[in-house]
Amino acid sequence: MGQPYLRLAAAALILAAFVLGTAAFLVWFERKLLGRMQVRPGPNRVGPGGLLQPVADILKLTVKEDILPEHADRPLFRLAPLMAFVPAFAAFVVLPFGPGLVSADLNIGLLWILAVSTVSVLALIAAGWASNSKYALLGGMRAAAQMISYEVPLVLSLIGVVLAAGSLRLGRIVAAQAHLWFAVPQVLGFIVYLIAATAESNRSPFDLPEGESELVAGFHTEYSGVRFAFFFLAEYSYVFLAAAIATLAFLGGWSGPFLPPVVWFLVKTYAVIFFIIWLRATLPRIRIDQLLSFGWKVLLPLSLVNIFLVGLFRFI
Amino acid sequence: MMPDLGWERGSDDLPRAHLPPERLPSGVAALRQAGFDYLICLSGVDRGEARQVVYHLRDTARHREVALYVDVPSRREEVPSLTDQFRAADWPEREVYDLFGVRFAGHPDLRRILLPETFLGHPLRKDYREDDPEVAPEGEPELPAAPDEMWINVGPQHPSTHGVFRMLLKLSGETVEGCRPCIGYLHRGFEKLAERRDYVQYQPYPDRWDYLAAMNNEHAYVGAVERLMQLEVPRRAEYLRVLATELNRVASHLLWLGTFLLDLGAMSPFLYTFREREMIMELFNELSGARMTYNYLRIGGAAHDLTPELARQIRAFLPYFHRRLAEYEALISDNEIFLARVRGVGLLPPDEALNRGASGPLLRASGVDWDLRRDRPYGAYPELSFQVATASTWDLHGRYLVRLAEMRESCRLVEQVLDGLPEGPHRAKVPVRVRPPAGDTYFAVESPRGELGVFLIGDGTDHAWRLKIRAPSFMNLMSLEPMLQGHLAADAIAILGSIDILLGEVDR
Repeated sequence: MGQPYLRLAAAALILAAFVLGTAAFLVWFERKLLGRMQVRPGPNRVGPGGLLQPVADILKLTVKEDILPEHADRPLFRLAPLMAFVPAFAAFVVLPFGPGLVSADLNIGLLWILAVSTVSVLALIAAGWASNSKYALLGGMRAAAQMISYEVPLVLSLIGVVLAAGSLRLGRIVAAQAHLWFAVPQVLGFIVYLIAATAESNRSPFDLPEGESELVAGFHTEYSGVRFAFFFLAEYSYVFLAAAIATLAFLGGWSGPFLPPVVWFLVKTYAVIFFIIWLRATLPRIRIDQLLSFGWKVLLPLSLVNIFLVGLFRFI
Repeated sequence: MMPDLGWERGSDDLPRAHLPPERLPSGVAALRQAGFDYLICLSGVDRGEARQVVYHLRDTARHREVALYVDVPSRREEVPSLTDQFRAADWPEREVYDLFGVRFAGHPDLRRILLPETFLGHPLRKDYREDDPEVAPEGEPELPAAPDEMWINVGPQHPSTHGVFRMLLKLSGETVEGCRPCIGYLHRGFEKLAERRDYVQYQPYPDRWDYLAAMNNEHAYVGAVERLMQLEVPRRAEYLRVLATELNRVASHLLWLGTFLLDLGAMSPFLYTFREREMIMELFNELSGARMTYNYLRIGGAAHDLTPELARQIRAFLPYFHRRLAEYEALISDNEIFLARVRGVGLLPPDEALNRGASGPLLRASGVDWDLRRDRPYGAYPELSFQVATASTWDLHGRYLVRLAEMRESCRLVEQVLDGLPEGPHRAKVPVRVRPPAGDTYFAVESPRGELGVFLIGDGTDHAWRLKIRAPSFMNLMSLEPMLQGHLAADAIAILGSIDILLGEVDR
């Protein structure tokens, strides 16, 4: 009787280790890559090639003094970092890394990820509000406006995939791309997804909620120590998640010749992550009004056109 | 037609007139009628027994300049404010009030500007005693805001204020409804120091006014002293000065470009421009022995001659730099997001720019074709050919394009200097004790940030009686407020960045 629980516990542990490891690795990956793109070496002191730098950073953050701002909304202030991190973690549960390599193979896998990751917008607003700081408040408001606006095209761009695959189960979506990646017939949806996902995970050029030029650090201005580390890890978990969904829904998932499926999955995911980091090294930040009008007036119609086209082809 | 205000000729050929305070507004109004559209410099002077305010005015269309001297009555130290005629008088009048205690009748907001509101005394007065108590405890006044507005404090510790600038922004949502700049955090009393050091001792200080364009600062200082001394500078030295100041202009604009893009949220250009700036720093290190505070231009010439090896290095740098500049343009100039952020943002119409005393790239990007190097030529510039870049869009994009073009022109100037460097000494024979005759002069150079002027009064001794720095950043910052109105908070940062202020110079 204990066996399913044991299996679940083991899966949860492995997943926890994987999520933390991935987030830490991504921090290193991004800093190293940005360094290379900006003619500087990036972290290179701690561990081989600076690989242990994120570990050192997180260790440092955990031993830092835990500062609560005066007049902050204490319970909410404490809750917000968890609210940011837990959904990211929960979304990983349904993520298949290869055939059968999944903690919980839900038949609504894609829907689960979209639904759960929506919660993180609440975390950002809560953090902005609870800090009792003007910068944080502005950052939180921006986060709300941005994430709600970009969720719509994000979901709509994935509807095309669901239509074509006929299932919300991620394994089935991958299987449906055995002959042709969805990125080819649904190139429009793929582009909309990439842009919306970048915005949804608050990455440059859409990093307005923490736009350091004007808002110092946005919603997490007042956070330090381990609570800040949680926001940090959550952000990178979402980057991985966004890239993983791009891989599963548009780039054929783990399918590919010669190499084992898991390797293919990671290669494709990291290719998307590379692209997202490349954007950060290249582009200036967009302004809040431009961001919103772009989301509603350009991305939303495009994603609708994509659904229409997919439907049309299926009908024919 | 010049209105008759009783003109005399000073030692530096500038028409000057003494006016009683009550005749100042009408006199200035008549000058404005005659085409004088620019208040260059407003200086306070302590003549010992009485205070004086000196106004330098310019007619930008006909290239004329005059100086007005107004003696402050000692019973009641007050003169009429010029703010209703020139918005450019706003901050300088506050500065004179702050440092000399002269009041300006009709000034809309006569508060201290460089020193804290609670400072006691006026330190540039000759009767000010340094051992007097200085500052009473500071308190911050509450600022009024409607229920749906809030004041947000930006700076003096903020990633995007380029130093210790501070502004209070009144926001309604994210829209800027008002702005209240606060400066003075880096006030180091450079004008007072000039009265306590002799002319030679003061030579290294200009490096510290605007430490990103130290060569240009040195030029303004030594130029003023030389003009007061009527000292002829060898042509080779003048060429070397062009070489140093133009390279420094490139270095300064590079830093601007990087930080401006950083303000817009693009991080990479910042690191790229630092790479090229570093090379210029190294060239300066070869030339002067220092990377930032050179003390290279000396009264009568330059400290060291240019070695053939260094000339070769500079020559090799130029084509490399042109390639890099093309790379920047490929990365930035056509980027959709960049264009969306800079086009039509932070408009400054030409009339307003002139009236507010803007200068340099800020003024030229507002469509005013004015460059001191061409229009009030000094040094070797009349012998060299270069274009003055302007833009007609009045916005951030124009300021970007103007500075980019100026970097190219500066490289052309450097090339001409290397090609045509005259033979001869690099320094005139200067007496050990520099002792210019009594008199005063205003000498200005085109620094990367605009018109950097020095109003120097000598009393026949070996140290200045008064040295007033006309800092372009300080004057340009007065244009910030109208440019911000109605823009979003993110634009406010970009607009501030586009002025290219340097706090060492704003606060002096």
